[in-house]
Amino acid sequence: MTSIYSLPNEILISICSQLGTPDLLHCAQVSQHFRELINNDALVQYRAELNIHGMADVLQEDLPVATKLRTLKLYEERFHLAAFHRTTLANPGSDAGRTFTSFVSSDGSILHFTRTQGSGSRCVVDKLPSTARSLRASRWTAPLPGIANMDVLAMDVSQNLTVAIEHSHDKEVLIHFVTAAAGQPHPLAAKPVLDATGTSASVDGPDAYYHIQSVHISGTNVAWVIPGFNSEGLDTLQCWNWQTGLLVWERQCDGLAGHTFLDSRFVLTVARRGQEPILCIHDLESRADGGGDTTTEPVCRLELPRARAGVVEVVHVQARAAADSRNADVPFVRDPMSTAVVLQLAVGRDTEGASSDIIVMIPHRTMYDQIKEAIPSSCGNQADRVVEWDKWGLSGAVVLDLPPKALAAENGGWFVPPDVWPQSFGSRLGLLLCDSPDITSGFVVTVDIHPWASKCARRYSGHQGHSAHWGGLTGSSVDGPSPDVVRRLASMPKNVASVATNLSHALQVGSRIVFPPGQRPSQIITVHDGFAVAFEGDVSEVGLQVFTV
Amino acid sequence: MGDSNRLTLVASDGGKFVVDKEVVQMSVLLKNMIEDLGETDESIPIPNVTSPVLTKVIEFCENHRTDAARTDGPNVDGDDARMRTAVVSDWDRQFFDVDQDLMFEIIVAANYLDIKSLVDVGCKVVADMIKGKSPQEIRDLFDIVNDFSPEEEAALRKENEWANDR
Repeated sequence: MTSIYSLPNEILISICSQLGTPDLLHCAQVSQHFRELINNDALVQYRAELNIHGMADVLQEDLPVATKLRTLKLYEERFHLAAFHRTTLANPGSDAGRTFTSFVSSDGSILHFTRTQGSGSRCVVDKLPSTARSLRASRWTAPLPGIANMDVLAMDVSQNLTVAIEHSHDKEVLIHFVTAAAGQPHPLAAKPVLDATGTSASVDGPDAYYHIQSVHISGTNVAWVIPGFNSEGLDTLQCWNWQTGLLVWERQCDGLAGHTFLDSRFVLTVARRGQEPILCIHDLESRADGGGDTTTEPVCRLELPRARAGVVEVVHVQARAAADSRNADVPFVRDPMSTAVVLQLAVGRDTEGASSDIIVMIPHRTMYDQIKEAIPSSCGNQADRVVEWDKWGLSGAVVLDLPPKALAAENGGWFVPPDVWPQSFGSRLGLLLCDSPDITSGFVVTVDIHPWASKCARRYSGHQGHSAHWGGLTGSSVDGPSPDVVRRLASMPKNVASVATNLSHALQVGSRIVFPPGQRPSQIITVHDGFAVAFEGDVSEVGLQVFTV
Repeated sequence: MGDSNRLTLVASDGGKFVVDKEVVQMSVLLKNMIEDLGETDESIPIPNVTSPVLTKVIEFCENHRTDAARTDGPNVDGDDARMRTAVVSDWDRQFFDVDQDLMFEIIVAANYLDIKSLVDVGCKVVADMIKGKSPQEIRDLFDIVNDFSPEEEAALRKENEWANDR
């Protein structure tokens, strides 16, 4: 009797190499033999590594897998230098003439920009210890003479680009495109300085200082919001090509609450009309021509989970940097499948039923395919095109239903939603949720966008957790709670009211972390085998806790 | 025998097969063997392969002799790519429409004789059988014993749950 086991392993492997991920995962569940075979196979390893880093393969097809794997390993470190997310203003506004902005890169480095009145700008780079591989942290400082009088709005290290804002006298606002490294005018920008004063939404508001908000970079596009201080009170979302200095696209919205690039072509906007949040997807390519009309109707609207009549605020929108731009030095591209959109909605004004939804939307196809698929072809009128949220993708979305940080009655009628810090590493998205009113504790949720990513993360499950010093920094060390932080869904904290998801295994919720006294969390840094939470006492003092999954 | 273009292969059970040299040379193993032997009238024993299997292997090679010539030259190091892109032809599908024992024996024989195109087609056919099936269906299909403990199995299922969605 000849069975499938009489086939030599290399034949079984080449059979497996014909299979897609779902079939491969099924095969791995068939028997110990298959499981071992698949888990140890170089091809599977290669695919898993690609998925962990959220990368797609553009190498020549006929290269041997071992060579591809080596190439991947060679470039691994560099994938995560590409995208920087601006996170929180640790010390918002100006404090004694000083402004402070921090960014976290997906490799875990944190960049702090400080500008002090009279003594210029400087950038401090903190390289965090990665959780399992090393415990060394480092910090270095670079003066930025090129942008001495500016604040940094956004940066994209893969393009060596920093977008900085300069407020000169009166209401004049200049946007600078400078190199990330030295703050010098960027060589690719035709107009290294854009005068934002002259844009369509003129600034008459009381606080012109912050009038350009939520700046996002995606390839050659840079988008920002100009709040509606003008007579109509409409917010304006503008998308500029920073290399040509031309306005690509703009749209006026009533109560624009956030926007994000889904990829190089689609933009998601969230607006409030009355109490209803309106999620729209816009196509940057759909404008009529290169001429005067740069305003278009949205491609479709997204319908939210339940009737959200009581929505008062859309707090946060962030897509994992999904620009499909390719770093010329690296023979891999970002996997368009590893995009995720994080939305935070505050729901309800009353003490009763008040909650906040964190929605993580994960596509199952490329954005373009998905949007095309979701739109009913019979629907001619663009304004009527509505896509229900669960049709967003077969994988759908994760909904975390959280109570507000402070209830309305106890807080002078104001609803205070939990603080949310998202940060992604490859195809893993980490969310630090801080729901205690006095910011003393919180917990971490990780979502693995790709099944292989979580599969591989668990390979490291033997590691111990630890809390760590901030290397050579003037930081305070933090005593950590239980090292085994991230557990399965079964151990959900009580305060999470409900989770609706069809990604159950991909979602992991950690137990409660109590923050050190006097310090508040400022960042979460997610890596493939764990995460770190950074704390700040004041600007110069940083603590860090590192956890392994 | 006298015909220098033909060779005799002897299966493990003694069955004799007279085959064109050109066809035999699709097997890298036999090709090398013939080169080593030089001009000879001796028959070549193939101890690991039975007559029914050898019949099928020769049938495949006879049918594919023409495309063998085509792919002989430049495609030597493009095996990986070729394999992934090639679609199983109707003829090949018919060819593998046999009971599983024979199917696996053919693949094992093809691997032993080093007939790349037959191995490729065999792998594709088996992969097509696996596609879209649940782990239990795959076990049933190939008569594989589930050697996971119930706990292991539950953990695995949970871990891979969402693969069903994609």
